[in-house]
Amino acid sequence: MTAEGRVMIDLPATPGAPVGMTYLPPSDVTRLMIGKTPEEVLKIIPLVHGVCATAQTHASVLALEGALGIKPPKQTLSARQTLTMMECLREHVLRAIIDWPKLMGQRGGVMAARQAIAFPPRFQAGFTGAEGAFGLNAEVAANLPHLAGLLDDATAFLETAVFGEAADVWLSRRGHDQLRQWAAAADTTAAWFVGWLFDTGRFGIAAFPAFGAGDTAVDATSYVRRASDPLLASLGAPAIGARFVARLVELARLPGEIRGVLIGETSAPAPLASGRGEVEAARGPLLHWARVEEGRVREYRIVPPTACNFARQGIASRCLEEIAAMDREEQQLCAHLVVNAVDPCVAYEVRAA
Amino acid sequence: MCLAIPARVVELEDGDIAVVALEGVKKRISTVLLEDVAIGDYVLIHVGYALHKVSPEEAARTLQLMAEAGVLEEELAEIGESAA
Repeated sequence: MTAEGRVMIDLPATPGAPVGMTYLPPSDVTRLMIGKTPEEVLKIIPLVHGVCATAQTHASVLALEGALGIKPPKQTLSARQTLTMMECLREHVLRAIIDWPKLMGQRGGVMAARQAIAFPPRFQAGFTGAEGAFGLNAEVAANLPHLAGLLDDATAFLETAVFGEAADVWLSRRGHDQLRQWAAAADTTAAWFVGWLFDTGRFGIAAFPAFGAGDTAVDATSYVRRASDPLLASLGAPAIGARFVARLVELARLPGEIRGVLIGETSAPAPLASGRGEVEAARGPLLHWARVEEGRVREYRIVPPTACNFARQGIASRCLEEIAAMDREEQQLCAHLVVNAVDPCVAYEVRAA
Repeated sequence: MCLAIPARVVELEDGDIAVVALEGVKKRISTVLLEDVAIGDYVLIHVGYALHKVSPEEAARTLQLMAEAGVLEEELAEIGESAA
């Protein structure tokens, strides 16, 4: 095991033979929580989870408050939810700006990536008490005009750096042809990448019904929560290309959805008596579960989406079946595409027999 | 999936690359996501990228926790293998 976990993909020597995949889960840090007070756990979680620390701490505080029977104020729940959503926005932008060009053998947009990284702390500054938002029964107040201004900035940034057009115009596109037209016209790394997927015939790889229709692969990716979006639905079965586009759909929707949570149009997740805290992290649903007795954590579990997606019956394995018949060079490239389409944050290695 | 290890920057190279050291084990990482990285800074590393800077105190606390959980030993072995 390593801190970040690792996926090993083994390409067979014989074309057509199954592609092997081994998932080594990350080291188990939950042992650190046992015997600690809930307050201590909430200090440990963001320290050891450097990636998606907000989503991790959000899931943790929901689990612990649930286990303790605490019902925090509604505005605190909303603040936490929007902070997690903003982290999600940052993560998707980094994928589209830094990772996708790399898959094409190009260098990403450094300045735009740095701008994206600055959004969550700027957003956090729009709350009073935000630094303690993930404390038990915290009280947080939103400065709505400040946050609205920041969401306008985020919308404008996405228009320039990702979509090359207004997000609502982009979202109104339907089907492969209209998406291809955008990819050909827009001057952004996201558009170049989607165009490259189309032009090389890779957009449609691993197109199969991921849920329903008798397919039983476990799919805990960010695609699932956006599958019914009209643009994604118009692309048909979730092929590799559609999984990348799902992140763009989420990016286009997030500023408006964050606004909806801030003004109370949409409710935020609340603690459950079961001690189960579930939030939507950038890569998929993240679950923390806690049992607290006499003020100390007695049991603690974390189920990251990576563990589901790279399990034997997971979506990654199912997608890799679809590349078994390819020639070696194409297979190698598509193995990288599969991992990045399913879970862009996992460390991985593609090995040829 | 979401764990990141803090390490100290010991060398800066061209092209947004830095060499970091963790308990004496060195590794080259990308600093493309950060501005103004200097020798002596502590950065959080994940999948080959420096994600953000952390204070020496926070780095020490995180490393202590990771050592307590047995994570650090595993990570050092992994870095040692990849650097070999």
